[in-house]
Formats: sequence, C-alpha cells, structure tokens
Amino acid sequence: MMYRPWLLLAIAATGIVAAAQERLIAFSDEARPRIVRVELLDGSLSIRGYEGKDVKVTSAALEKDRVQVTEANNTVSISGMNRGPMVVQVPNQTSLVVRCVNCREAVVESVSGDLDINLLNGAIRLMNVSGSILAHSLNKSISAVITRLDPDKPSSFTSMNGTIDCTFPADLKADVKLRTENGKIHTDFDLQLEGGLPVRTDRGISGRIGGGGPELQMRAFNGSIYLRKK
Amino acid sequence: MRQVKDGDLRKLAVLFERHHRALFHFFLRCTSDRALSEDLVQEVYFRILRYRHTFNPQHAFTAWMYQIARNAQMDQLQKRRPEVTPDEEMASASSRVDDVLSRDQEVALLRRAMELLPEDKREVLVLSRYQELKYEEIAQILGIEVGAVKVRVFRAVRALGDLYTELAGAKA
Amino acid sequence: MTTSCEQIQQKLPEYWAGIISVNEHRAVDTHLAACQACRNESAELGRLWANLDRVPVEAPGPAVRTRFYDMLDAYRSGADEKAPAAAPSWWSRWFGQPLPVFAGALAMLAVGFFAARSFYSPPVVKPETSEIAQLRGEVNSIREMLQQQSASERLKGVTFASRADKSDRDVVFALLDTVKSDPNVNVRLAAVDAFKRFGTDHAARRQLLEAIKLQESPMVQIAIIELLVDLNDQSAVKALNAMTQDDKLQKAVQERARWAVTELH
Repeated sequence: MMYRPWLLLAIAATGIVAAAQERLIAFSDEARPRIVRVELLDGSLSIRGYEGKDVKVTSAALEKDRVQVTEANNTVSISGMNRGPMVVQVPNQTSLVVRCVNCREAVVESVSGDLDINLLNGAIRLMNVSGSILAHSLNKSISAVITRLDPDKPSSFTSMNGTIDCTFPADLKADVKLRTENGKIHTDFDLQLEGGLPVRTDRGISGRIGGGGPELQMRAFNGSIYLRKK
Repeated sequence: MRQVKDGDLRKLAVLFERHHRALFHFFLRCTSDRALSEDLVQEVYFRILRYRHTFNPQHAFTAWMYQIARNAQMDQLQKRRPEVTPDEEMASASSRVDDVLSRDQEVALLRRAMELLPEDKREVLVLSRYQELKYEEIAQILGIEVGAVKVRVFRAVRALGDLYTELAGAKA
Repeated sequence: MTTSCEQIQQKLPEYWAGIISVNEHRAVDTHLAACQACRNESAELGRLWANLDRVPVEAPGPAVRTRFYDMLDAYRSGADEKAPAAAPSWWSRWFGQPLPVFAGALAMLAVGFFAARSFYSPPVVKPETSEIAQLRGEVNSIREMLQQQSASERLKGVTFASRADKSDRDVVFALLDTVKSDPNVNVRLAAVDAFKRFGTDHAARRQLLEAIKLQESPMVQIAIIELLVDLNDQSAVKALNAMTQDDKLQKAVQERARWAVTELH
C-alpha cells in the first residue's frame, strides 16, 4: 500500500462520507433484473455489492440536492453534480451503467451483472466482479479482478492512454483478442487456436483460452495489456 | 417514399433531390455550422435508408424526415455538449455584434438574436418560418398538439423580439 | 374584449404569415383594434417576422450530393452483386418485408439463440423457402440486437454480425450505424473490428471513412484509421491526408492519420 498514498486519503474521505447524507431507494419489482445507472461529472465513485435489496447512496452532495436519486422500471438512476466521494451500495446481482466524465476514479466491488462502465479521465478498478463487463477509460488505467465471465455475452476492456490489467481464475474459458499499438502484451494463460498456434499480428494477438468461450477483448493504444491468471 | 420502402432505392435519390436543400437550411439555421449541417444531411439520408422499414406510408414523408433530422441533431449536440456556460457564450456573442456594418445591421442583429435563442425555440421558429410546413406537420414532428405549436411559435417570436431589443440596445 | 390576449397571441404568427382563415383574421383585427398592448406587440413582432425573410442562408456545398450518391451506391452495389439474373436473391426478397414484431425480450432471446446456433454450424444455403426464412431471421435478429438497451447485448450483436454473410448490406449498414451512433465506446470499437470482414467491399470502406467525422472518441477514430491501413485502402490516402491538417481532430488522431498515409504509400 505504500506506493499509493492517495488510497489512504480516499479511505479517510470515505470515513467523512459516513457522516454525510444517505439515501435508500427500493426497486419496484424484486423479481425482475435490476439496473443502477450512475451519471456524474466529478468526484469519485465507489459501488459495492451487498446482500440487501435496496440501493443505498451516500454522498455529501445529497444534502444540497445536487444529486438526484430516482427509480423507474426497475432502474435506479443517480445523477447530478457530485464533487466529493460517493458510495453506492447495490444488491450483489445488479447491472450497472456508469458514466463519469471527469471522475477521478470509479471502483466497483462484488457486483455481478451486465457492467457498463465508462470514464473519460479517471481510473477504473473492478474487484471480484462477474458477468458481462464493458469497461472504457480514455485516459487512465483499468484494473480488474474477475471471478467469472458470463458465458453467453462478450466482455471488453478498452483504454487509449492507460494500462489494462485483468486477472481471471485459472479455469477461464474465452475467445480472446488482445491488441495495443504502443504498449506490450503480457499473459500467463495459454492461448490456442483450434489445433494450432494463436494468431499474432503486428499489434495484437488472438486465440482461445480453456477451449474457448465468450469473446473477451482487451484493447489499448498507448498502454500495456496484462492478462493474469489468479 | 412508399417505393423506397418497397425496395426501389433509386427513388431515394428523388427524395434526396427534392428535400436535401431544405434539410440543409434547417440544420444551418439551427446550428449555424456549415460543416456540421452537411454531415447531418448525410446522416439523415443514411438513417432513412437504414430505418425505411419503420416508415408509415399513412403519414407525410416530410414530417418523418424532420423527425429523423431532429433525432440526428440531438444525438450530435449531446456528443458535442459544450463545456462553457451559457452566460459566457452570451457575453462573447453580443460583443461580436459590434463589427457589423450599419446598413445590414437589422438583419445582422436578427441573425445574432436567432443564434442566441434557446435551441427548442429556435427549432420551432425555423420549422414554422422557413421550412414551408403546415402547423399540423410541425405538430406531428414535435409530437405535440397543433394548439401547442401555435403557442410555442408565438413564444419563440416573443423571445426573439426580447433578444433583438436587448442586442439593439447594447448596440446603441 | 371578447377574446383574451393569449388566445389572440397564438394566432399572430399565422396572421402575419397570411395563412389564417377569414373568420380568424377578423377576430384578430377586432381584438387588435381594441387592445393597445397587443396592437403594439403585433406591430413590433410582425415586423421582426417579416424581416426573418431577409436573413440569408447559404446553399449546401457540392460534397453533400457526392456523399449521398456514394452512400447510395455503397448500399446498392452489394445488392446488384448478389442478385442472380433469374431469381431475386433471398436478400432482395427479404428487402421489402416489414420487420417482424417481436413480442418482448423473451422472443428476442429465442431468436438470438437460434441465430447463434446457426452461426456456429454454418447453414448450407439451398434455394428453399425455409432456408430463406432462416437467413432472414438471422439478419433481423442482428439488427434487433444492435438496438438493444443493454450494451452487453449490443456487443453480442456485433459479434454475431462479424460472422454474418459478407454480402449482406443490411448487416453492413447496421454495423456502420453502430460505429457512428452507439453510445458505448466498447461497442463502437468492436463494430469497427467486425468491419474487417467487409473490407473487400470498396464502397463499404468509403462509408467507414465517412464515419470518422461523426465520431467523438479519438480511440474509435484511430481504430478506423488502422483498419483502413490493415485493409490496405489506397483510396483513403487523400482523406487521411486531409485529417493530418484537421484541427478539429485530436493530436493523437492527426498523428495516426499521418502514420497511415506513410504506411499506405
């Protein structure tokens, strides 16, 4: 942890948030799939899965009504002018749509579903997530520890100026495409094409892991790509 | 249009020749951006081609076309959402009025006032004043009642008048 | 005063434009004669309304027409290639069919599954109605999938499209649409990749080049430029050259365009 002094700051800030206002909102239909949509301009965002049914939003911006929390069609929408840290607790099985143009960071922890996370200028950190994951940060890095990929849907991690670092369980099954223009590609998985070698081009490599499975794309431009085995 | 829907794509060329000029003018008057307006005209015909199966022959083609045009424009404006606040825009815009020649002053001020009008007001004004559309068609395009169109057109003209007076005052 | 000012006001634009019925015209006149405030406002705004005619507007440049016919050619060329002289292809037969209405997501998933199966075991194309119906189902399901609300579902649609019949114009254009206007960057990037399959088609490549302009993500713009290099598209050099000078594009994109020009030469 030494190399990330700002992380301590973030934790300290989270402590302050606990004193900030909290809002609880329920989904209208517990039987149907849940979606949480977060659209913020600034601040930092942490989304955590928990074993509850409702969505809990904690942010100082709630107090001044700068952030709106609404629910319609089983979708909880959180949007507005958030400047400091915001913590959102969601049921473990929830799909996410996250758009944070200038957020410093978005952290997602212990959530399973269709996760669609897009930042312009902030880093994305995913911890113990599963499902179909689409993560994009234009200018910062993406790091992810994924417990399971949705076997029926593709996943994709893309960044123009950041590193992409993903860790999967050793029994990963996927059709992977890795590509970066100005970085390096590292993996300790065995990439195979049916009965042959993986396809290698100037800037990328593609092949199968564990006999193949859903499509998994990792694409960078200036950063390196790490595909790690847990 | 019915023939385009049924697969005769050459008929799309006829529709293009008939409407693209008016469509371009619509975009240009709404956005004041020539290059963007040309791109948007292309985008509208692309969408007409792509979504021709959704055209309902019971309705007027022009109304459908303008509906697509509005959507294309909205998509584009969302992408280019400006970072500056409207206030700054206003200030810089009105300061530029000064270099206008006196003979064409009225028209120049009017053009400026149009540019400063909020998007929705400018749109309804352009549709009613320049595009040769009936109020019924505008109602269909905007998805509102004819009565509401009339109210909106008047409010847009009034807002334009306020801006115009303001600009003329600043000038004097 | 028999009519309220507000009722009269909303008739004024039609009154100024002279597209009002005789009765209404009379009603407006009566009111204006009696109401000084409305009379002043009508005079002032009416003049403004008339003057709007004098605000000039430029004509569209010649490029608008060229681009339109390019696009139309791109769409038609595939159809013409595909159509045999004797019978219309399944494509052109499908062409005029109304889009089947799917009863909700369940039906959608069923079709998606059907499409998935038939992609993994390529169907043998026989000139039978059932086969035609099957192919039609695939194309429709791809189009539907590319319009789903969930980005994951749309990305799945792109994956299917990348395995679809190469000569299918509707798939090509559905992909183009995704490249241009899908709200998710990951989906757009995948759609650019999926285009590789259609790379032999000159007209389709030109449409892709067009799509750069409407693109706000520099990463997608770069992906398109790289694809054109991968496809060795010499005809793109001119447009790429122009991009190296285009200040609306980000520096990284300009540089990549410059790189592309040297690669293609």
